[in-house]
Amino acid sequence: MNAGLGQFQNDFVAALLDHQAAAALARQPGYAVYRNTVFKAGIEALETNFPSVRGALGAAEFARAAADFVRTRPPDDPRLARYGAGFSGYLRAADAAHCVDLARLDRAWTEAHLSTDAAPLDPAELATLAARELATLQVCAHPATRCLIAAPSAITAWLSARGDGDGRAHDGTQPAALLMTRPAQGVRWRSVDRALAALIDAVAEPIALATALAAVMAKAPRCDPGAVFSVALGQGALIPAATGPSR
Amino acid sequence: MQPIPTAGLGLKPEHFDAALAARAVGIFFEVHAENYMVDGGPRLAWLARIAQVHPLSLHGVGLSLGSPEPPDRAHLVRFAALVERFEPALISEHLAWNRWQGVHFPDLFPVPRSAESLRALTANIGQVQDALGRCIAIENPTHYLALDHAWDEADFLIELARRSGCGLLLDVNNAFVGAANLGLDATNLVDAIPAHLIHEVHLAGHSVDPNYGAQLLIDSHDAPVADPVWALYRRLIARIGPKPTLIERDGNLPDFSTLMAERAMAAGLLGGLAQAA
Repeated sequence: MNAGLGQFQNDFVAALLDHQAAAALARQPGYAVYRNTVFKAGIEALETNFPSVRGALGAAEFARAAADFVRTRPPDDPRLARYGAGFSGYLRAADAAHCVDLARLDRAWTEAHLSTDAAPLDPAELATLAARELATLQVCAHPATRCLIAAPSAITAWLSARGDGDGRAHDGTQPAALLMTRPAQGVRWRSVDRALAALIDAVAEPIALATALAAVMAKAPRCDPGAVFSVALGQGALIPAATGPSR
Repeated sequence: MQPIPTAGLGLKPEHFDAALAARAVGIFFEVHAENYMVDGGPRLAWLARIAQVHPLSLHGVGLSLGSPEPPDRAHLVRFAALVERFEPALISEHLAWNRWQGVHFPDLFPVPRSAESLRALTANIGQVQDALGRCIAIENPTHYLALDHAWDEADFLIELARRSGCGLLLDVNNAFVGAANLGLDATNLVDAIPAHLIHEVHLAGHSVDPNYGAQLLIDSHDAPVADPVWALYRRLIARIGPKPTLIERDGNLPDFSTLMAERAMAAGLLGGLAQAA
């Protein structure tokens, strides 16, 4: 070897990303195998991780966008299930703004799917608590919980692509946000209103339940906080927090 | 106690239920470690169930052992956590690199066989083995390029094993495809690796490049094991005796029973050796 290992690898990557026809390596027919494998694996990872975007763009347009994303923002982690953190931003810049919220929702699903396991708050146990105990109960969001405010059309399209999680019809109002969580093994989701989004925001850190619901009321004065809590509880979006001082 | 692994299959999510129910003697399942480096959720739960009934082989693709730099610390910690949790029967990685300046390319890039590469690989494998508290097996690469090598491949692998204390994973399909692409004789490698260094054997299918035809074979894992690769395998195990052997299949995935039939061919050959002994 004349060139060192580092220089060999620099040249190899330059030919990979820039299609440097002059590079001696790239003139060998076999070099294309590496280039094809890198792009194929990257594109397939994005297809897996962003199925709703793929559905909206169509296979050919998605492949074009994904190839450009792989070229400009190749993976920085060998765990390809996590690839595509910046894909929604890329789509915004790439004149595919109608897919940005779909990409955010697909990404949230992946994050929920891969997150830490935790046992959600148990409604049966809560039913045994006195009102004061319930009010001071420390709660926080399940590690898998994501609540994304998104365009109603994007939420509707995402639900259509993925199937409406709980099969619940909306009450005629436009969905404001999508709640995802994973109380057991499968990710669950449903469209929710802004009051629910405010609750999930409030429980990002451990907090007394009454304090969290007061924060919800401050943001959505006309909501029924009990109903909001009930939805979050029913979805398994909350976990008991370790006992500590209330905020 | 789980039986000693004989012939195994790469575990695909599509086949989880069938794999869980499989009862072939000596069967084991191999997974890419990176697919299970998650915080929680169904993937880990599934693997835990498989590990309760079958030996596991953990096959890494992301440690980039052929880089001049040491393995990514966070990735190594995740790898070690999987090893600690699942106690795999076999652990392996590749003689390859794919990490470069913060980028992680999803492929296995070639390493020129030089003194510098040997030093880097030895150091990196040593770090991995120290972190895992286990010996790992290093897989021979598939060759697509004629590089300016200073070492013969078999000599390089044997010296790497001597210096680092690692074992070797002899991928017979890689040996066949690489030799075909470079105009070499695959038996040069298959015949040269001492039996005691070979911890595991891989078998897989390959395909011909759509542009170059048989002049450029691709290690595509999307077809049954080819007859010449089976012939090489028979030649190998006749020399080295039974070794855990994996059938890899990633593309054009057939149903589980088809893979089990292919796996049974390997198991039958291994069993024949045991009976003859």
